[in-house]
Amino acid sequence: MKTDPMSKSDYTVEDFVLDSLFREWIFANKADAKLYWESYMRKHPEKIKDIEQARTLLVHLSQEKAQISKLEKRQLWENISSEIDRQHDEPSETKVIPMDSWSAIKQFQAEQQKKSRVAWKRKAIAVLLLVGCVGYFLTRSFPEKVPPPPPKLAEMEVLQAPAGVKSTITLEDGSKVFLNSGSKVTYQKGFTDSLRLLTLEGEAFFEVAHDENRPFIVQTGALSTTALGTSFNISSFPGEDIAISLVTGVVLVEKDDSEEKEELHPGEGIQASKDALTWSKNKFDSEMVLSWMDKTLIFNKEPFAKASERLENWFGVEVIFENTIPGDLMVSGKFVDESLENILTGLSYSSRFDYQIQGKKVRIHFKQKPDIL
Amino acid sequence: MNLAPQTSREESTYWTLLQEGSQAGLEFFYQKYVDDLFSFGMGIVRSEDQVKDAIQEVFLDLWKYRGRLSDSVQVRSYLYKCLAHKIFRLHRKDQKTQQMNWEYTGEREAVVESSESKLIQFQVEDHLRESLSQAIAKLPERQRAVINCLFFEEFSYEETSQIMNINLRSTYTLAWKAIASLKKHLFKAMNILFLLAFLG
Repeated sequence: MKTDPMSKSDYTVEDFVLDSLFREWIFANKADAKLYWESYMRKHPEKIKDIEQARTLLVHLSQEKAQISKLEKRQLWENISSEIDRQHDEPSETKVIPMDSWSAIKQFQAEQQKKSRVAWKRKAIAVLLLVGCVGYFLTRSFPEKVPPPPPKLAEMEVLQAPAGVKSTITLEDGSKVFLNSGSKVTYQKGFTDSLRLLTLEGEAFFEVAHDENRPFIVQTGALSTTALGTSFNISSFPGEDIAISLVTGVVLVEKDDSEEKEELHPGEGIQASKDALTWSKNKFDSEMVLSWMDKTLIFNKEPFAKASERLENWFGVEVIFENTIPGDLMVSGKFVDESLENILTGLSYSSRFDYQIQGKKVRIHFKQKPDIL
Repeated sequence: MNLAPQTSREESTYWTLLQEGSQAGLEFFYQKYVDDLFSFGMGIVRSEDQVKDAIQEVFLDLWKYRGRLSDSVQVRSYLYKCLAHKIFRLHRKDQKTQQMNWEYTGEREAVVESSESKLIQFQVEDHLRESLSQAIAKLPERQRAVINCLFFEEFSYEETSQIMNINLRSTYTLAWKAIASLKKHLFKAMNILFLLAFLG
């Protein structure tokens, strides 16, 4: 590359085009580049024609940006993710944990049996090689000595999205779970023949694959939501109410320890306390409820402390208050796919605070109100 | 002209997630870069299927070899590099379909609302742009890739050479050859325009 300024005296049109300082002049008109090329033209008037041609070439260089459609993008990702699932080289965020000590023991037993089965096979082959055809009756008796296959274990799958991360999972039955940050879904691997039972902590949106014979049940606290083929959102963060919002289809919400139940139709929701002692049916605002799936954070006259909790969970950070939050401080706003910094800047104007982001910690300092009001 | 793209804190968080085997990490990079990768790929071979296949392979590899990924990586240029590599390899397999795909280039719509003189000016500009973009389409694929990197994706020579997996001098040579042939096309187009203007 010709970087030595002296050698630029024999520049051709091509060299000008490829010179990044030249492009800085043409496209950005940067001061130092401008200065340089203007003095260059004074020194090398014979090059002005080439410079003009290089400029013409550069400004007409354009490219049709091929775009991938949203649908294709989603399909491509589904291909990738199902390919990954197919290869299942150790499932991603899913960690298989045994249900209790009994099944842990069973699992170790199963592994042990697997090993001994392999050992048996090796022996069997060795014996076969030795005895050959003559001892064929021996081989006939072998299958009986092979231990029976281990009983199928009730393995629990735990799908978890840590704070600051959202994830999408397709379950074995084809149902999809969109997990919000700081949420967890637990279910029995492969489900059972009669039931698809899951427990949820946090918030998730479910798109249930239709299967009449196996109801899809989500347990949250003392409530169970039963669906056949529908899509709905459940929010059940620790220390908060449970909110169930139905988007399509029909679901049945039941209290675990009583006969009380409520059927929900699209647009309807249930708001209940964790122990389900109080509950009420309502119409929900789907923009508000489903906003998290579009990476949208909405605050609707929310107390500041509550809003900061949501930011903590959304971005996986810790908010530290250096002084007390003004008691009556409410926050409103809608942020679509915004960075933490932009959101804080936005909020800091109306709520009058200074902030500092240090790694995973956010320090907030409220400005003192002037004494004279 | 080109600021080295800084690996943001967000990116390095997700990179770590990916290394640790979280599919959410992979999805983050997919969602963030698939648009850019697609248009970059289409700039090299104009076959949607090939580009999509290549992108799929890039992300599957990323997942497969996640345990071996290095900690500090400029993710964007790394992904471009993987994609270019895949495309060149896939492409060698079916040169024939490629030839066909290049036949229908440029169905562009130029909507111009302006006074008549401006209109002519715009048409000249459009014509030049059009003929240059056709010329780019006719470049050998490696030259086209270098031009894409340098001029449309605004990578530096160093980054481009890494993406193309060739040394700096070859990068410069490829770019030089490409510009030389673009220049020829441009002048041809300009001469025709002058001739038309003269006749008109």
